Amino acid sequence: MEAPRDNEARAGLLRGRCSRREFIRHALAAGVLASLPGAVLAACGSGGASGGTSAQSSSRSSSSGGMTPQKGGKSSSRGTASLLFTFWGSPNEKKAVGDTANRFNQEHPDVRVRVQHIPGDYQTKITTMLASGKPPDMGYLGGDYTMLWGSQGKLLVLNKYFRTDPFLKDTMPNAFYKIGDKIIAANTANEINLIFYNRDLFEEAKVDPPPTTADKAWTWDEFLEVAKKLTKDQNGNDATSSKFDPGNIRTYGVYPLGGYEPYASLIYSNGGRFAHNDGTKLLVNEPETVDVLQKVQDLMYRYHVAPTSTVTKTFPSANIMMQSRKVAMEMGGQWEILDYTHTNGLKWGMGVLPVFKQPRITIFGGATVIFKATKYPDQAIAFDKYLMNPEKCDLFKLGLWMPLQKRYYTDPSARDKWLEGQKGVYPPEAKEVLQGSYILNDSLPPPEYWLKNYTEIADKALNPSFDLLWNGKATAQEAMDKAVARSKGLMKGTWTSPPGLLTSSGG
Amino acid sequence: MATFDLRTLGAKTSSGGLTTQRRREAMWAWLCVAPAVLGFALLSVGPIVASFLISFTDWPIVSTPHWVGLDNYRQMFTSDPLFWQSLKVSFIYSLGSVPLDMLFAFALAVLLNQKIRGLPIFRTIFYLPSIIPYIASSVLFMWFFNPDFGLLNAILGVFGLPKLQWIYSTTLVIPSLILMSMWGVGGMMIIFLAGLQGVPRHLYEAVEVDGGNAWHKLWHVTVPMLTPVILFNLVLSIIGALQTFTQAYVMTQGGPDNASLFYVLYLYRTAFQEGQMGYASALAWVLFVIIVVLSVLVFRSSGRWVYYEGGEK
Repeated sequence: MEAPRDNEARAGLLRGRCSRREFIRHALAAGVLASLPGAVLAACGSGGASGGTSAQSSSRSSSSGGMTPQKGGKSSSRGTASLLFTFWGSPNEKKAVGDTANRFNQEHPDVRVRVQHIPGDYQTKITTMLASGKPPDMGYLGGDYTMLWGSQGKLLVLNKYFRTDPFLKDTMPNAFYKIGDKIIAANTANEINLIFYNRDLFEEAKVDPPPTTADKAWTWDEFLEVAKKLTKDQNGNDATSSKFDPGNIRTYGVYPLGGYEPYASLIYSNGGRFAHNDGTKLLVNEPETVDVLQKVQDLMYRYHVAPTSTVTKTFPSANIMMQSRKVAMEMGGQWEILDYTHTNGLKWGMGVLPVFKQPRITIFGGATVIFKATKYPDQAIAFDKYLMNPEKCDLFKLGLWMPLQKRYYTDPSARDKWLEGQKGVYPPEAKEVLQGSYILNDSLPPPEYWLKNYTEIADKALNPSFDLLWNGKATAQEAMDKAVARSKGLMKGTWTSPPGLLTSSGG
Repeated sequence: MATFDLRTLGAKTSSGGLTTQRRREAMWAWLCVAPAVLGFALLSVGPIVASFLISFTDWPIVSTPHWVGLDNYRQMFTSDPLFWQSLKVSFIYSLGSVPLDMLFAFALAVLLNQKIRGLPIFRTIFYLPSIIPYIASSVLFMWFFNPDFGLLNAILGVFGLPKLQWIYSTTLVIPSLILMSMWGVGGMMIIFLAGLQGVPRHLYEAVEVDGGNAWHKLWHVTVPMLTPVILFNLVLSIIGALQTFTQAYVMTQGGPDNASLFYVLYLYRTAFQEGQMGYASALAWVLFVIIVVLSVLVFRSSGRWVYYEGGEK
């Protein structure tokens, strides 16, 4: 970047061709043009495009890891039904789903399931595929889009399969995504919330571990008391001590979660409601809900037994925090068992969530859908069934998934195929925490299973208000009043009738 | 729009047709601009026209669009609080980041225009951050802004100042992102530097002869001579700031409490998370109109403060 010696000459050069002023004008016009809306969308879309490339590369890389290799002769043989299955998930999940597809293909020579793992921006990718008229045959789908596309007739209605097939007939009624009475999907697998804890820290603090059945569950006050005893400052004082220093905490009693969903179990347990049964009014500012949310906020800002959400956003995941003794308990999801199993040197256990007025637990899970455009609906449901079978798909025994069929919660021999399928994954108490009536009868799905427009309600009304709550900038009442005010115009009714437990208990 | 007159490239113009040589030159010229022109025509004009039409429809992607006339625009201006919130966020951010970044880039360029040892190394160091992808620098800055063990709070701690919540606070998130934007001014700095090197030395000498100091040189020579470059950087950085997306998408997802819901992030959410292509296209066109209006205003004003060395108007 040496300065030209003769600036006059350079200026002359510029004048001869195109003056500086004109040059700048042209360049700026180009800049303004680049800001055109099409360009904005194109720029945004590039995120999706890059997601696509990475999906390609990952499916390439995973084919070496044992995923549906294309055996030339076999795949081109006449009469083979070829199915594309798309999904997201961690490397563990990717491998397990790939293995399951391989096993399925070997057992079903007339079907070839190809799996495509899409790690980033999954929804955008699938939307694009569907919009261009080439959706996959089947795949994972978020609950909100399942309902939307189901209502638009893009998804296969599955009633006849779930009514006739002996295995599928046993599916829990809570595990369905329904439009009216039409079953448009079942959960890929069930998921619930529970408490994880570090056994060593409980022993050192001489505190009994969390109860493992709902009838013995802690009340909120008992839970809070335990959390206080487990919270230690740098000098070793716990949060019950008068010398406790909240500014220098070494171990937090509990690792909280953000958002609404993780607390839905507690809210339902306290008789709180998310929305009116006809879906026209958000009700999160009712006393039962506010009471629970205020108690959770108090864990952070009043009793200092939980890190604030700002802190947890920058923390590593809960199992790592527990391993390094930064937290003693986590209100987490059962799917984390897979991660806990791989946390070296951590002696961990699990228990049920605290109970308020009545035992309640939300049971949920992303959907596995079959697109109506598929040419092979019967083969697709066969693979879906295979994937939801704990004896065929490893993700159940590895700790990521819970089965959808009732028998796994009532029949000990079926249960053991799941919980004891792989040694050293589930702790002994899993046979109590993940079993019985608590899961089968006290469970209900969260609002997105029946309420229309849930994503927009969450994006525009709930999440910003929860930001205020978890940041300690508003009380639960103020934050939830704000959420209700913000929900104006977003409440669009229901897809199907709300779960029985909501309508019958009036809560 | 004025176009480049190809004939001036040749040595002499004849009143008749082009000579063979000029014809060849013209052909090469068209060939060279073809990729850009074709790319624009095929890949941009189509989507631009389409998005204009789509903006008058209600189109939940994957189902059929319905013509709704001006409804999207009406909804935006009358009953969408997030439209105003996102507009506010983008404007406040632009108001803060554009002048600050320009000042910072200008100051750096002036410093890097001095004759000191190791100049190329300094230039490289200050330019490097701007070639780091935004995603990477966003992740990096999340660590800087970490309230517990972030670098910035550690620095505040050294001076005994209280810890700040940075991007996790509704009031500080935009100032934090403005601060972060200064990290990426390398490109602007290079343009300023190029401009600085085009300032004729004899003008500085004239100031020296008249007994002026460094300040006089800066204010009476450097700044006036650089006004075209300042105009260029100003317009481009206004456009860039109003289109801010990545930082918020990666670092805050628009939070807390929508305090960093940038306009383009809102647009993206509307289009690709809620699937409302019609409304999203309408949002895009409103942003385009805003940018055009601002650009025109800046151009209008430029006659008063931009000095072109060539002199011609």
